[in-house]
Amino acid sequence: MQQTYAYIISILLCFNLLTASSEEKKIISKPEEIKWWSGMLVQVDAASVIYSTLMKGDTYSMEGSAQLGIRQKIYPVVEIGLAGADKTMTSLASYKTNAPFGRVGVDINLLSPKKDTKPTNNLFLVGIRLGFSNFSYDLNNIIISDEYWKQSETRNYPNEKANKVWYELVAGIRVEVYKSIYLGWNVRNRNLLSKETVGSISPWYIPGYGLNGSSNWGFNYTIGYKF
Amino acid sequence: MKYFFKFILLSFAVIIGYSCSNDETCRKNKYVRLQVSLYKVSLNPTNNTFVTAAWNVDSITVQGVGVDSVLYKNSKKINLLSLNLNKIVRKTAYQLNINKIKDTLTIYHTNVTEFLSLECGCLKVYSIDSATVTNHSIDSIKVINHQVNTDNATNIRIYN
Repeated sequence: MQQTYAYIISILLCFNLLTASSEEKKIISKPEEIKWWSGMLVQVDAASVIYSTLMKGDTYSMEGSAQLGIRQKIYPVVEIGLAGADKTMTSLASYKTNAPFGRVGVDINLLSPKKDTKPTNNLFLVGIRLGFSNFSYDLNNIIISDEYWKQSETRNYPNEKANKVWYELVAGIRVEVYKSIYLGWNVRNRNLLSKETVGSISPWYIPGYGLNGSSNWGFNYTIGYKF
Repeated sequence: MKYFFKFILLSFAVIIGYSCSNDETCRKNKYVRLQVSLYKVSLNPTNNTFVTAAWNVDSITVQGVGVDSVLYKNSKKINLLSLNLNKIVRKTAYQLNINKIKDTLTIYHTNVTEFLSLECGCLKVYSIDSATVTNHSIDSIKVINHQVNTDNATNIRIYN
């Protein structure tokens, strides 16, 4: 439900800012040529740091990206990061991992500059990512108790290996707030491509993807500098 | 600049809204029981054939051998038993007291551990290797489904 709120707020904010930027453009009348190359933007994600703080160390993540601009329309991107989890449940079952992850993809700017207006650096982007993470994890202290027969056993699965691949559908905005300094955010719908066998050991948290499940939602709040 | 502040404020609202609470609730089905049906075989004198029908016992008490607690205590008019197999060892024995006559049902099974999730832990499912029973009030048994899992289909038939 909270994710749905986030999604609705994101859409509202998106339209709010885009309307604002189109108002600005009306003032400028002299047309400018759109450059083939519009620089490289290096960004860090603040949302993952804030989210890690809110999770109180159960999960943590940091990531950054480098994105090229081609004719202010196409934005190929590479994202890399480091993420992990150190979670102990109330049942005392624990999960631990720490690994790098990567994503490659492309964004498309859906805003077309109107005729006789200056090209804007405010963007409404939709895109796709292919994410991957090769990692190992420890799953320990899984207690199997038999209340009727009054017996129990404990299972430990140390150093389990996993290789996960997923795709993400991304939508968001980016605004130039000062010369070459950009703020932006995007929401992401992540979908795992790696399927798991029912009953087999599986990771609780996948670096770069989040909590394990066939799909989940993510949010990035980026701060960037364009070179 | 006003857009900048709008951007900051609303973006943080999104982040806080997104930060959902960490839920440890297990929502997966972990109910696995050995399902035993009771049947009564009787001779139909009119055509001299055997007729099999559900055996609604007048009274039944079921208890695991070696434990204090009972699974069924003097239950009346039932013909289906849901019994806990031992999750740790591969042999489970029950004492069945049917209409005040005692029998022992012994199940030999292979235990398979299935991992569900960190929240749910592991689930034990079973494959029945063999089953034996003493013959005081029970005539015979038949394993009709060797897999004991969350489907909870009938596994064993007991005939009187």
